[in-house]
Amino acid sequence: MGFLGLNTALLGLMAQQRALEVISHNIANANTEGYTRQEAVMGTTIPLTVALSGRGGLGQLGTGVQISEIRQIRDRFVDSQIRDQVASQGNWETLRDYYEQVEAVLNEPSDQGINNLLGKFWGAWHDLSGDASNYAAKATVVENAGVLADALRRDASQLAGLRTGASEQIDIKVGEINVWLKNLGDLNKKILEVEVVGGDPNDLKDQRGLLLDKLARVVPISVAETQLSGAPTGVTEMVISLNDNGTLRTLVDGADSLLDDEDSRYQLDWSGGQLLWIDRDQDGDGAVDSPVGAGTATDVQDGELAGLQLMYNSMLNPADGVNKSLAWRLNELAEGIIEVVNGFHPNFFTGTGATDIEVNPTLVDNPQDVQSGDPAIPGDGSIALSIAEAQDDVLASLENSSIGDWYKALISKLGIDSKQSQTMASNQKLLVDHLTRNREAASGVSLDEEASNLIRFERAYQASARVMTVMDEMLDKIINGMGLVGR
Amino acid sequence: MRVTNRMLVDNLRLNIAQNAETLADLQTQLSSGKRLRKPSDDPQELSRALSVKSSIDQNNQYQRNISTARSWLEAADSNLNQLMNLLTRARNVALRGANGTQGTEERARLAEQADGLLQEGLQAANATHEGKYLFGGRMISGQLDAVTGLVDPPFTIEPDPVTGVDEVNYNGDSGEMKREIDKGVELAVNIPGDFAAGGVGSVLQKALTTLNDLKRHLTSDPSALSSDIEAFSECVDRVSDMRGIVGVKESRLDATESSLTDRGVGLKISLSRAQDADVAEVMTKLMMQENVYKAALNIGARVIQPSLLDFLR
Repeated sequence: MGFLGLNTALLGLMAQQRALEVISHNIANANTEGYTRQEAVMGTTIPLTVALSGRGGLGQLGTGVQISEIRQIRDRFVDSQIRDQVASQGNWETLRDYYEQVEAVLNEPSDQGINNLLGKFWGAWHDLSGDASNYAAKATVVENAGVLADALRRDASQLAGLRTGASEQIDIKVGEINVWLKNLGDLNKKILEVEVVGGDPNDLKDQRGLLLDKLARVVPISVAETQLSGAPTGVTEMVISLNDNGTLRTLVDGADSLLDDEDSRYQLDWSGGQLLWIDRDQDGDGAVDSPVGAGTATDVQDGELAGLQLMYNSMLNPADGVNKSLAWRLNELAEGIIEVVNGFHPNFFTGTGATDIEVNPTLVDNPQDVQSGDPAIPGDGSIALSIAEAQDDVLASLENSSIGDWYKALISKLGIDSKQSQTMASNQKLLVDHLTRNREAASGVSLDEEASNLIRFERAYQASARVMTVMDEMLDKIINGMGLVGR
Repeated sequence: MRVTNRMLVDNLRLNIAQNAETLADLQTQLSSGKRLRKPSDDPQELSRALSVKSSIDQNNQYQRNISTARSWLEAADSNLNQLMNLLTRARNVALRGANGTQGTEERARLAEQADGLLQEGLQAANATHEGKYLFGGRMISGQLDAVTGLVDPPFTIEPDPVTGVDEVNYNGDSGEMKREIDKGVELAVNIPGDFAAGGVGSVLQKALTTLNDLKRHLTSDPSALSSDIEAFSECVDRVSDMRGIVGVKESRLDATESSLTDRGVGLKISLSRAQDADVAEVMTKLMMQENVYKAALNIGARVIQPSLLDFLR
């Protein structure tokens, strides 16, 4: 006999040991974020052709085991499902959080809310109409009007503050995205370098997966892995694209995504209320263009950026009359109040909308100048009465609704939108949790399972070691025991 | 399906978080007493609640308006009543004066009585309520006299510039002071001083003029006293008409107020139903939720602890 058996046992020992090392890696990373469990895949080594008595005289003798690959257990389909749903979750959770803040700003139902302040405002005019030259009644009108105007200005200003905040958040996230794109390009390059020479860059792939999940929450992305031409089968190239309302815009192009300045070729930018996609190397020479071309405006429909953009461009934008945004409705409310009151009492309010509505300062200083009716007739409260009764009048500028009803509709719509975002966010969370659980089921480390595998490989190691001992004894017999006659 | 330790722990975490959220919500409902704390709690109910609140505010305002209107009308009525009584007394004076047996001296004494009655009449016609003239129309603070520079009450007696004879002038206006006593319903709260009825022209002016004439007729023109007697009877009837109108307005106020009160009660019930938390119901839910929470914690603890490694040598 030759040393073949010894070699086979050695290969067995090494393979089981390697497998135990993989289990050890799994157990150590049981709680690592984004870790996919690995397993050592064993395959037989190339068999030897030997002479046997039967079957045409030749047969095959196995020569041992080898680790053919250390592979990750990962379901790519679940990954892409998760990325899609996480984008939607990011969108709804952002909307939900912003609506919550807007509800806090408007503070209804409460005594400080505009609904109640409007009631007090109209009431003051009513009281004045019955006591038309009473200084105290006039002072109350000015006071209540001031409180109402202050509340409108304060609400408008806080909504504007939220809007600025949204823009700043988008700026920050876009900056983060650009860093992630750079890291992804880097990872792609390293992964390819390892795969091309036959390695398994599992931990690098896990890092990439983690970044992709983070990116997918912020903007809707699409990931395509295609076989790299000219490379061994299984080696893929990953292209990550932004989903611009159906059109795909490349963000990371395989392993070639970084330019000479070590930054990603494709970047995002936020400017002028528009999300822009920029290709920094349009002539494809690997160097940054100078000057860098203007970006293309993109229309993302999902992800946190979509939610933030909706808040910035629509909900909190007082100029968005097309979509009748909340800020626009509030402004129209203030305009309506000014229109109605000033129509009966010229120059009672100054300003044009919710941001600058104020009681005329001369009236604030001199409440006796409030005109409740004809100034020459002390008992004439007709102007005050008209204003008080105008609370029930419909205005053409408010789509034929009264001031009070317009405000109630504003609050009602806010409530409905807010509730919808809460429901959707919580539904999405359930969905994402479900998918994450599926992924965890496939790729997660189960300590019990690893423990039982430990036993398995340990025993196999022990058995191989035993085989080696047996072979050793046999060889010992041959080498030291044969041919010694009479000793 | 393959279940890892991490999934068991995640499950536990998620369930606890969900339970805690529900508990927090129920707790806030109980401690604030309100079911509706922000629009998204129940958008439809909130819309109704806001409408009901506005209606309650308006309802209260209308009731306040009615209350001030009523006090005004009551003051007007009381003064008109006084006027009616002294017109009757004046008629009696005229009757005595017209009796041919009266001598100059007696008529002079009657003239003094007539003068007293005239002053009382002026006082009644120029009566104020809370500092405002009742019968001046909308000139509640009187009228500035361009000649004397003083502020005149609604009724003054001044010599006619042409004839030099004293006459009654009305310095107020005919304006009505309106209050809104119910949605879209206005009521004129005052009766202007130049209120005309039954063909006599301005009733109060006629009454005061006749009182003024009485004094003159008693001293210089007793034959005119018979027409004064008739005029007084007529005035008493006309002032009574005015009181009748006041009465009608008052009963309108009463009817409206009673309807507003009923409506107010209904609105308050509506509001409470919309926005208040049903304490008994929330308490029960809270207890149930606490049990669920405890169970989740208990089971979770039992499930996540054991592992195969405990049992291997």
